Amino acid sequence: MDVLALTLYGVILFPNVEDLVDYAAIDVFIASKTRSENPVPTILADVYIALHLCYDMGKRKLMCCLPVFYVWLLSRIGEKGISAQCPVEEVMQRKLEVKRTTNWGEFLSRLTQEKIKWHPSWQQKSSIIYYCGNYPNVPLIGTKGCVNYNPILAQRQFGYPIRGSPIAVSLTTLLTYHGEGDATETLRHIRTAWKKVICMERDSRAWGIDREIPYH
Amino acid sequence: MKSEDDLKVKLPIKARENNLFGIRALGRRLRAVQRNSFRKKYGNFLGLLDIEVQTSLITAFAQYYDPLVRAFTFQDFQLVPTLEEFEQILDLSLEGKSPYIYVEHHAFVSTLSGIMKVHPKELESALVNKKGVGGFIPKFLESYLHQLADQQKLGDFHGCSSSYTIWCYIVP
Repeated sequence: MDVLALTLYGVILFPNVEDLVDYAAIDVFIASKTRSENPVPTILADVYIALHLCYDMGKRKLMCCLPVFYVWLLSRIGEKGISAQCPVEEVMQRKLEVKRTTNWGEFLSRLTQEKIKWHPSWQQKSSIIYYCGNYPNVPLIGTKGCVNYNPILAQRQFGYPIRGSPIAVSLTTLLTYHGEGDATETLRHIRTAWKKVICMERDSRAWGIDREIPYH
Repeated sequence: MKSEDDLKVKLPIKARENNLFGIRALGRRLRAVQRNSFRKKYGNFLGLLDIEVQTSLITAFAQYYDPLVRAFTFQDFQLVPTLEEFEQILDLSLEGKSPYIYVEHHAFVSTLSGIMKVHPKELESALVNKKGVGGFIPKFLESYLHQLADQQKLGDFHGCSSSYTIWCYIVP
């Protein structure tokens, strides 16, 4: 099963060059196998970094773990009514009409908050990671670089509306590409930050920050 | 008259997916009980393998990304891909685990040969370079997997191709 897992790491989780299980994917696989390191933040980082490679660096192909991104997207914009205990199962149950990019573009341009599934049936988490160490948000290490994401903007996805505008400092951006500039220093900072993960807990009143979980 | 949203769908990017034909065929060779143990050990990758992704939807959705705030921004709401959702989709909990830390060297052949039970020399000769990036062609791994499946060993956690069994014992 290890060889199957390795192949899936290369082909599905960390695609880079077409038709290649590259060194980066092999490295994440080995880290997971021998050091029990978790690939989920890496997969999420690679989605963000793939978008930045397109937006900032002019890349034309969006290469990242598309099935996860797709399941995530459908869990929010899909028709209401289908409910499963597992998000992947939910997508499998659905008969989604095949549309071209322009037709999906029209569909998306008509989306409003009322149409979004804010409470998927499979969502069980009562707490979310809010920030790590000295970072005001969550820093992620991907296979190509490091990037942050902003849980404060995702509160509604976990059951509460965003109250007011988030302050600018909480959206401080982080983006480095491995091997460039001060990337090594950034990696060291992120590693330290992940030793102090602050979660936001949901209770009957509102979100409160009161839990510190070591993720190492 | 074109609205602002029509004009938004103009970034020249396209979501691309690898060819999954070969690996899907392998996934089908696993029995249900094997699929379950795979999922428990690694996460729901086999479930994801069966998803038919409409890349056209992702291409259209990517137009809504706001790089400054790391969110997909619409008329009156935002969507943010988060760790907690990805954990559930992949069925792989982060709690109690540390995230992957990138390291700059890639001296992996001996470790991988131990995991795969394939001689390091054979692995090294299978390494290729495509567009300046090194790795294995999926077909190389797939044919090894078919070989394991033919020996009823695809579901084993320590697949061991018989010709290398002896080697496994003598090399620490």
